[in-house]
Amino acid sequence: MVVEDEVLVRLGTASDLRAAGYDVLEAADAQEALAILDAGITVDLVFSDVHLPGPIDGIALAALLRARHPAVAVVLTSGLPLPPTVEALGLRGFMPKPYTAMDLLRLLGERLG
Amino acid sequence: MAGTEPRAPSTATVLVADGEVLVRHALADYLRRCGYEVIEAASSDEALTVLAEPGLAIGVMICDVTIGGSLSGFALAAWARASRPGLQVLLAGNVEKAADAAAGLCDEGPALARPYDPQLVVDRIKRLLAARDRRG
Repeated sequence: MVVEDEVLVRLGTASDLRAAGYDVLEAADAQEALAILDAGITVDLVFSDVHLPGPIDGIALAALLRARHPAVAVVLTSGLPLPPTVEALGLRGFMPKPYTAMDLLRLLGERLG
Repeated sequence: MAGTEPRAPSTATVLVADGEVLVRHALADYLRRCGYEVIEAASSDEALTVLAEPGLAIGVMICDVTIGGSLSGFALAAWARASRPGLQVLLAGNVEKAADAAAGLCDEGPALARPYDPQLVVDRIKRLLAARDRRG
């Protein structure tokens, strides 16, 4: 699942992943991501921007997922470094922006095993 | 249902503009399985961004009348009709008055009911694209 509020960025990332054979869900913010997961739709990995609109940013989303959906792997992306406090969130990876489709596919391939 | 969906007769990109993520995802997923390229927009602002992108040739926009954002679903449909004459617009909603207003905005027929009947949506898309192709 790609969580990204910039629609063209989300579209590009989702298209790259679909072209590589992944089933991709799209969420425009953390609330949408939680709605998908809380509905029981199976998601193996959440790839989320840190900066999201609304009360829940990507780091808070990762914390909520660790508590509510611990089986879901979380990879965050941002143009800025992550704060040291994220170590407690058990992230499966971090992708600095800007990234290429190749960078992303390599990382997700490793993390999804 | 996977593998039983009707295939799209030709390549067409469909913009699904709906603020309810589970509704949007279900329809987008079905349309992709039918062979359509699908772009999802969670608000009217996202839909406007997509429509303004010159590299994205959108054939059909399905727009929920209650979508959030700077424009209502009706205003988005009106803007699209005025600014993108080649774009086929399908309004969707379950509000009684929406159907009346939609009749004047849609290229064909009344508003789609929500929650969507995916097969009905595909039928409407096919008819819209066929009519567009006939008009040349």
